[in-house]
Amino acid sequence: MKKKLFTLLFIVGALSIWSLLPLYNYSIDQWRVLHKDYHYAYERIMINKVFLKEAYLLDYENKYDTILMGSSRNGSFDVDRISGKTYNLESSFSTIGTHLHNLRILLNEGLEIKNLWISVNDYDTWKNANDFESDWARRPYKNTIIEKFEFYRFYLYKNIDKRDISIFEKKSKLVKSERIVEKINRNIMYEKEKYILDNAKFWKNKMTSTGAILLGYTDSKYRIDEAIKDIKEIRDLCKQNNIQLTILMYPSFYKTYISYNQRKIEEFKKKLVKVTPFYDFYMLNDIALNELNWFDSSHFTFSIGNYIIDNIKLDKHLITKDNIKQHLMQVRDSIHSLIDKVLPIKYIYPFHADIDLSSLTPIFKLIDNIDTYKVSQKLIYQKKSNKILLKNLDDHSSILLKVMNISTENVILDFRLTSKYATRFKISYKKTINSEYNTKNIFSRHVGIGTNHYHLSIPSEYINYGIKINFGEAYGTYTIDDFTIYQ
Amino acid sequence: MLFNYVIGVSLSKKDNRGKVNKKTLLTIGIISNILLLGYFKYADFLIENMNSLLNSHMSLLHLALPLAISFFTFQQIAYLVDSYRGETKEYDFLNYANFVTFFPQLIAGPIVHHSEMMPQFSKTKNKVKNYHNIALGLFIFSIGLFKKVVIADSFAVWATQGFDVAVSLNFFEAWATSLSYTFQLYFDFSGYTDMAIGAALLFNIKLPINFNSPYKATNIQDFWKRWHITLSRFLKEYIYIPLGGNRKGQYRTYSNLIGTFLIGGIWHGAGWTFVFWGLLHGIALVVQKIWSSLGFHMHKILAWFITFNFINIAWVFFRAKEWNDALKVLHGMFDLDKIHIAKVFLKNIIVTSGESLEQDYKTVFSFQNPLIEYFHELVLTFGLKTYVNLYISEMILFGFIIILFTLNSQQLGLQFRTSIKISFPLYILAIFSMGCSLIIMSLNTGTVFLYFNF
Repeated sequence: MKKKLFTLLFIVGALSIWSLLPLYNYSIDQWRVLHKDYHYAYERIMINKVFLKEAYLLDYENKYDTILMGSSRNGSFDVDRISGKTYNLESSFSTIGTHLHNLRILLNEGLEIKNLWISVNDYDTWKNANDFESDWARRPYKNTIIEKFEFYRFYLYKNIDKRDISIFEKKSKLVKSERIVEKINRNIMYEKEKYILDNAKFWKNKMTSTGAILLGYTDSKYRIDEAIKDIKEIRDLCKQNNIQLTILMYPSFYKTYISYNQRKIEEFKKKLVKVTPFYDFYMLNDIALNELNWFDSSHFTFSIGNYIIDNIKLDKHLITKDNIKQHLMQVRDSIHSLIDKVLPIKYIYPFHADIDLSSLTPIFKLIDNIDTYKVSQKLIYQKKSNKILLKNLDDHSSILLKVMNISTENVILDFRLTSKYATRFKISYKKTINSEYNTKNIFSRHVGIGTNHYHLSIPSEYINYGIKINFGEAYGTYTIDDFTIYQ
Repeated sequence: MLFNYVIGVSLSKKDNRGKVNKKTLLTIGIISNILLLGYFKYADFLIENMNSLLNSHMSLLHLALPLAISFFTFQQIAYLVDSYRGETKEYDFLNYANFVTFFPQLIAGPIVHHSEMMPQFSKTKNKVKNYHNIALGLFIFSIGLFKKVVIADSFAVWATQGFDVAVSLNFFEAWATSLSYTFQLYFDFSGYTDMAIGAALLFNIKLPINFNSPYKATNIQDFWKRWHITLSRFLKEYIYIPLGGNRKGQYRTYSNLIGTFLIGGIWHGAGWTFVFWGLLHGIALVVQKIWSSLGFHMHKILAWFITFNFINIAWVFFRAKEWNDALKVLHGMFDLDKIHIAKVFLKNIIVTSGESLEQDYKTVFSFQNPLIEYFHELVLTFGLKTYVNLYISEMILFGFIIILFTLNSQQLGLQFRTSIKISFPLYILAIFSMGCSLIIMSLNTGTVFLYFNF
């Protein structure tokens, strides 16, 4: 080939190879975004609901006048209970930021909305909607040319993964799907719920013995003010467009609830009510405390969805500037319900250290009793004002708590430890009075440098048979600032 | 640039009747350039060392380093020296400015010499479209882009994980880390040079070659004849020879070599690790000179093995941000206790495909090149069982094959240049390199060339 021809064919050839990837991705289109296909989905692959639902709404702009925006928890809402022209714009892990983005587009495209329901999650206090810009299954709809260009480039120049190959090999087939077009599949939901009720014992056991779905919550970064700002903008857009706005906060399963920093949730609610009244179902009430109300630790059942809609229509659970103070006091007190109704959780279960325990009754303080407890020879202790200084000379040194006689199913331990080292503390226990201390499944938690604060729900039987606590594996000195058991 | 041009022109004038003599003028010119480079590149290094020596607390300047300052400073110093020596012609300012700022080679070399560049800028023939050069330029550019985007950036992820992220490394990880960087640096820097050469050819400008399969070198002198050739040329002509070269006796030769490489080290970066890297190379050259003078010979393969490993170990200091990072990698490479962990790891992969060790390993090297992953997935579909975390071994093997057994881009370019009709394999190589690089660039954004810092 001559050099001039080479130059021409080089450009054609290189561009052809460059275009292979987008062609392949277009033909596969795991999330059905590139085909804007809301009628079909691949088996076992999550479609990009937030994009497709928005696209569907824009294609059928006169079909609905009420939009219900929320996360996958919205999947348990039968929106026909609101009105026949309601569309459930639910999408996995969506946040207030996502809803604002979607609302802006719907209004820009001229959709006429009369009512807007927004469901708020606990994770709205920390999750940033911008994170979904790099999430294939959750990247939201775009409507400007530049945004669209970047959006399609994102999907067309995507790295090929295992699922693409399984689709290519026809292992995963494209099947008719009603996930976007249909509001809810009542039959499936009721079947699932019936299964739970028919197997109540099994389900309760399952729900108590599995951990909570926390979606990456870490209690280190919050964006409450940003979320409130987004809600303000939603409120203002609704006012400008004569849209009736309804905001609700989902209920939470008690395990998820106690894993969250409730002071932050309280702060969020206080700020939210200054912007708009809202319906609050987020507390340790009967919904939260009954395992049979939950498909998993994040998603409530269809009946609870109905309950929420019916209560909102009756204006129950409405929180306003006038009743927020009283309401939050009730929420704080509801920690009692956890002790009274939920327990036993049949194993040691940590929950957030910032949950206020002041309304509970302290039944034991280590500082007052340390002299009567067995301490390993390699552990030296010293009482100093209201604290206990420990000098650890062995990695197995521990304190053995005396047998107690607690009648409730569980107790809550409030434990604060100051350490100079990063280490772990461990709790071992006996299952019966005569059995040996467990050597497997020993409860253990990370101890960081500085003050560490823990709240643990402990089955009372462990306390009654005498638990063994190793305060820190590392040699050295520690300070126990507090070790109080509440009932 | 204007300052250097004016001084250069003054120095190159035949008559010596000016108020300032030429030597003073040259000294002013060189010192001004070095001061400027020193201010931007070495001020913080100096302050840090002063603080540490005097226990003082002077604040660092955190100056933004002007792009390519090390390169254009060297080029201009060479111009001044040659003007002083009477080896320059009377260039016009536009050509001089083009010589200093010619964009293809500006940020990472090759370090060009005025005598090889300025005549090309003024040649009328070079202002005419030339399909031969365009085709060759596109070909070499494509290979360079592939080396950078597909190969070097794959190794970069592992090198970064090992040097900057991992707290400690076992034997396998440490060697994977050091080799990854050794390959990354070569493919990155030589890839950039190829692109510079290719891009310059589009304008009918021929840049000097800068790499000639350096990891095939069988001794350290050979290595410096193949690696960053234009830097070696500069160091030799403007530092080593002016210091006296090998003309002043054996010991002076050795000290000149070490001195030259210490300057070469500090030129690469403001840090003691760079100085130490330069020192290691200087010492290695001295050792080699002594070895040669004693008339010893070594088998070629053993000589290659020792040279390559020396270079690989020396790069550890070149790459490490801190001494501790270098020691961490070296400790892993030579701590015999850690070999055991690696053995267990390999045994588990080969025999039992143990989950836990695989998981541990993944925590250090968990990233893959998307293109490699693509091929890997295809391999899996044909039923050949491989493991995700072995990508790095595959890539290192791939790296060795390329550096040792394939033609380098200059040799490929020569084949291309000398053929009247371009063969189909060369065409496929060119479009494959460019197409794959474009795909990877579309997937990945925000990668940087290593050498632009120097």
